[in-house]
Amino acid sequence: MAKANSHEIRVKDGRLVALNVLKYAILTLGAFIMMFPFLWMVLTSFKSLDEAIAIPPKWFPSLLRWENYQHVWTLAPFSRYIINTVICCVLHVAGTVLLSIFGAYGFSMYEFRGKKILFAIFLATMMVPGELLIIQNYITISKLHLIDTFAAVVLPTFASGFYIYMLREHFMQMPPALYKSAKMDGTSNRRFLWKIMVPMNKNVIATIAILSFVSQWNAFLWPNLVTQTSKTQQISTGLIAFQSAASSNVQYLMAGSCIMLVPMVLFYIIFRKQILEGVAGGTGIKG
Amino acid sequence: MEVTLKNLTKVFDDFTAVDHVNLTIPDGKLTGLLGPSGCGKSTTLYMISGLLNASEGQIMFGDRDVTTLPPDKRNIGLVFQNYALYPHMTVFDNIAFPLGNKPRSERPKKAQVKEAVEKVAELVQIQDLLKRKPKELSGGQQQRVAIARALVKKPDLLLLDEPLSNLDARLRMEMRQEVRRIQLESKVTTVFVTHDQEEAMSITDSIVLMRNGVVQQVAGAHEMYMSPSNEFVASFMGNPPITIFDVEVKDGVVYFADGQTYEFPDRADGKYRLGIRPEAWKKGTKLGSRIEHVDLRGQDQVITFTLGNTTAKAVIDAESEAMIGEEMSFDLRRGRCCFFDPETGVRL
Repeated sequence: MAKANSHEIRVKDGRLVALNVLKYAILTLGAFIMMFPFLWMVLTSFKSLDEAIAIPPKWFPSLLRWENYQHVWTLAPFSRYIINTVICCVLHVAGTVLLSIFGAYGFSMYEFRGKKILFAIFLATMMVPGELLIIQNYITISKLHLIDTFAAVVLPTFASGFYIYMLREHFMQMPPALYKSAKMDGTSNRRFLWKIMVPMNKNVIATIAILSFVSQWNAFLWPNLVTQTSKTQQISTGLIAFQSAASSNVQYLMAGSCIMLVPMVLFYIIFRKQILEGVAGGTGIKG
Repeated sequence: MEVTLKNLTKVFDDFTAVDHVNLTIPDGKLTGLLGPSGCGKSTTLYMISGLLNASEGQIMFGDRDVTTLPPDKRNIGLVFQNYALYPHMTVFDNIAFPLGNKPRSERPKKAQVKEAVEKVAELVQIQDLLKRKPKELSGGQQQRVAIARALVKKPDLLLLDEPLSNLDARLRMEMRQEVRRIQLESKVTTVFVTHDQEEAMSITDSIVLMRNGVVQQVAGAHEMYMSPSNEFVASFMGNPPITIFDVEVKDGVVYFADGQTYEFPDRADGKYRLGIRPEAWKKGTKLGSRIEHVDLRGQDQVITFTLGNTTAKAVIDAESEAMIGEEMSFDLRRGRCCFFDPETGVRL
C-alpha cells in the first residue's frame, strides 16, 4: 500500500515538473514578446544609422555608440523637459492626493443632503472617456488664459472619481468606534482626518500617489495640446518636437526615447511593490 | 460628580429603546448597567455620553443640565467594547491623544503631557508598554490602554461599554478586579455596561437592572440578589438561576403541581409564582424527586430534578455523592424563597 502510494506520488511529481516547465516556457516567451520593443529600442539607440536601418536587421550594434546620447542631448533641451515633467507630476500628485482625501472624507464621514446623488455623479465621471473631455477642457483652459502653463497641464485631472471612490471605500472600513472615541475626546474633524484617517490609510494613499504619478508622467494627448514652448513642454511632448530635429535618424530617436524612459524605469524599480498592489487589487477593492 | 437621569427616553423610529428612565448615579461609585441584550443599557450609556441624543427627558451632571451638550463638552471618558485604539500610534501617543485636542493656547506642554501619561499609565500598570503599538499587546493590556486614554484628561465620569466581553474567561476575571481597583484608586464616578450578572455583582457598588428599556430595580448586588423586586430580577440574577414554580397556597401550605406540599405559615391563600434559589434547597425529608443530572463543581454539586412539571436546580454541598437516578428529598430554607404575583410578577 505504502509503496503504491509513493509510486503514485512520484508519477504526480513528474507530471507536475513537466507542467511547470511548460508553464515557465510560455511565460518566458510572453515576457520576451512584451519586452522585445523595449529591447529593440535600447539596442537601436547604440547603433549607427546604417546598422539601424540595415536589412536584414542587425540585432546588436558593432560597438556601443554613447555619442548618440551626447548628440541627442544637444538636439533638444531634455533636462528642461525632465524638470518640467517632474514639476507637473509633483503638482498633479499633490493635487490629486489632497482632493481625493478631502472628497473621500466628505463622502464617508459626513451626512448631507444629496450625498448619494452627488456621489453617483462622481462615479459616473469614471465612465466618460478622457478624450471626450478634451475639447471642453481646452476651451475652459484657454478662456482662463492658461495655455502653455503648468496649471493647464495638471488642473483638469486633479479630481478623480476613481481615486475618491477607492479611498472612500477604505475610509468607510474604519471601525466607527474610532470616530466616536475621538469625538468623545473633542477631536476636531480636521485633526481626526490628518492624525487618524490618513496615517491609517497611508498604503492606499501611497498607491494613489504612485498611480497618479505614473499617469501624469505618461500623459501625452492633453499636454501636447496645451504646451507650446520648451518652457512647459513635457518629456512626452518634447519628444515630438525632437522628432523633427532628429529627422530620420532612427538611432537618435531611440536614444531620446531611452532618456525619457530612464526616470520611469527607476520609479518602477523603487515602487514595484506598491504599484503591483495598486493595480492588482491589493487595494481592498475586489472585482 | 453625581449623574441624574430624569425621564430619559430614546425612541428609534417606532421602537422605544429606553423608556422614561429615572436614575441617580452616585458620585465616586461604580454603577453597573445590567440587562439582557436589547434592554437599552448601551443606549442609556450613549445618551449619557452624548453620542446619542435623548428623545425626551434630561441628563444632569451635578447641577448642570447637559442634555443638549455635544460629547466633547461633557468631559467624559468612554471605553469601547473593542477598545478603539489607534493602531498606527504607540501606546504613549494613544494615551496622549485626547490632550492634543485642546485649542493651541490651552494645550499642555510636552513635559506636562509626558507626566500625565506616565501617571495614568502607572495607575493602570502599563508603564513598560508605552513604546509598543496596540497590536503588540494582549487583549487585557489593550483594555488597560483604553482605560488610560479615557482617564488621562481627568474626566468627571468614566463610561465602560461591555469592557470585558472581548477577553477570555481567565483575563476577564483579572480585568474585572483591575477595573474595580482603578476605579477605587482614581475615585472617578464610573458607569459600567454589562450583560453578565456575575460581573456586575462582583465589582459594582450598585446595579441598575434594565429590561425592554425600563429600569427593573436599582440596588446593591447583595440586595438585588436577596430581595429582587420582581420575577424578572430574580430570574436574571444568580447562576444557576432561580427556579420558578406555579403553586397554590391553602391554610399556610404550598401545593406544588404534582400534589407535594411544603409548609409556609403566614402566607395568605391564593395562587402564586414561587421562586426557589438553588441554595435554598437542602437535603431533607419533605419534597421528593428523582435526580436527573449531577454536575459536580468541587466544593458543591448542582443537582437537576423535576418537581411537578418544573425542572429545578439545587446546589448542595458535595460531602455525600449524589447519583443520577437516585431518589432524593429536600427541605427548603424559607428565607431564600420568594413569592411573586402571577399576574404582575411583582414580589409579594
